[in-house]
Amino acid sequence: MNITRDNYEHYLVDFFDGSLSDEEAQEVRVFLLANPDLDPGTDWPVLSVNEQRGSTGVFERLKHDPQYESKAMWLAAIAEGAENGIMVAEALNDATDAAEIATYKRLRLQADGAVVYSGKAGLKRGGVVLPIRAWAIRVAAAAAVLLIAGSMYLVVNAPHEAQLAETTAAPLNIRRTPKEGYTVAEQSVAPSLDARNVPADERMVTTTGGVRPTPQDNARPEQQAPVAFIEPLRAPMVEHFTRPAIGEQLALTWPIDRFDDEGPRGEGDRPVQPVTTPSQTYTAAEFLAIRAQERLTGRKPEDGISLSQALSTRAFEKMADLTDGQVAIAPGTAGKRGSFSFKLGPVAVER
Amino acid sequence: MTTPEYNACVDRFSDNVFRFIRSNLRDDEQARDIVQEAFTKLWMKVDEVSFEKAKSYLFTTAYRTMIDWLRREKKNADFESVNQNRYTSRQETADLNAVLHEALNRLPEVQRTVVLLRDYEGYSYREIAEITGLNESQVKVYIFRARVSLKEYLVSIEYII
Repeated sequence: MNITRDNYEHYLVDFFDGSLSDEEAQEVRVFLLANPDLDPGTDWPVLSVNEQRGSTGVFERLKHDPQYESKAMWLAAIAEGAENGIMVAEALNDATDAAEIATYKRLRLQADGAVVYSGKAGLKRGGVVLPIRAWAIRVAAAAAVLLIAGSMYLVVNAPHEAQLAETTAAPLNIRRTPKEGYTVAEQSVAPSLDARNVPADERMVTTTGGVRPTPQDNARPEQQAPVAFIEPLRAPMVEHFTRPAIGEQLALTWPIDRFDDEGPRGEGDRPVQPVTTPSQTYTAAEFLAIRAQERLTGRKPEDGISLSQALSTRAFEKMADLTDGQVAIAPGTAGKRGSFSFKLGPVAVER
Repeated sequence: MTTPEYNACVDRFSDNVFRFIRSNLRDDEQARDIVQEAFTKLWMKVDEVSFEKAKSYLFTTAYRTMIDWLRREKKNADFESVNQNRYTSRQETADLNAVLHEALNRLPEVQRTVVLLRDYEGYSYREIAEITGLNESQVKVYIFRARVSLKEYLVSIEYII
């Protein structure tokens, strides 16, 4: 048998009719495999079954088809609509096979519509997806570099006032108590000159460490709270409890060693060191200047920075405000520790 | 595919994919994870997958993810290995669909998958073949085998009842 594209139809008819031998039928299959465009597809009844019942022996003619391991599979295929043709008609004419096909047709699974995916909102996306072109990426990269460089420039050249604004918060509380014999240390809280917001009977003159105000000191009206009490240092700062007058010399004592070792706020981890250096006396202006300098720069007075720089800061302005604007400091000479020279004068705060 | 089209896919196909995976795994939590992963992959390829192909992509991705998970978990039960005595332990169920799903759970994973794609989604043999990576003949054979198994289970139940 020589099947070609010219004569294959003749063989196909015999093939469908089941009149070909096994070898000839196999030849037809091989031909169709080589010429799939001529394959009649689902009309191709090349079936094989192991059973020999019903449908007038049609399965005998299908025994070479690997798709069907049993007659049941073939009937299931018919129910699926995967088979048609003359042999299907024969099966449908057989009552037993027809009933079985009908049963297979019932075997359809139905999805439960009540079962839904509950996380749809989480799957959705917002915005618009736009194609990003190469030039846009390069522009974006350049912009990012410029942005970073600009940010670094601003950080490096930022004025000190910006830091001071965060580090020079005014002390919050000043309390004065008429109780006799109380030391400032015993009643100490963070001192402040902002006494106007504190009821008079709750105020207490405060400082820390070794300063013992006299009963007369405690009895002073809060308006006379000393400038030095704004200082939150734990070290003893003042023995003078009156608001400084212009040009008045204040008896500010400053344990220099402690200042040096512990830092201006006494917040170091190291224990408080004993005072080994004699306290020095400053004017109120000097005191404010030193504090402003330290807060401005984080540096100690002996580092010798320009006090004019220190005094031109908002830190100084804040301190001047804390003294109700009664004092202002005109910078004098800058120098090492203990060599400051300032004058107290009328309010002249530059803003 | 645009973002609105992607979101439309979520609305239209997430339930279908979820039911398909859930029926395969009988594990809601894992099914949710797989659905989420499928949509995540779709989003990652949103520029490449057209809206028309999105459903097929989702089912394909979800199916492969499920297979990977099954292999990891070794939960792939074989219908042939099921002890036939289990048939007698079920309670009477009047709902044919429920019985069929019970029988479905006893099918091998590949048969269960092709039948679900065929019945739930109405996919053609060719589409099922694309999703599962099988050829069309294999798909047909698995579906026909599954039908026979489902019918045998149904008959056994009716006989017991």
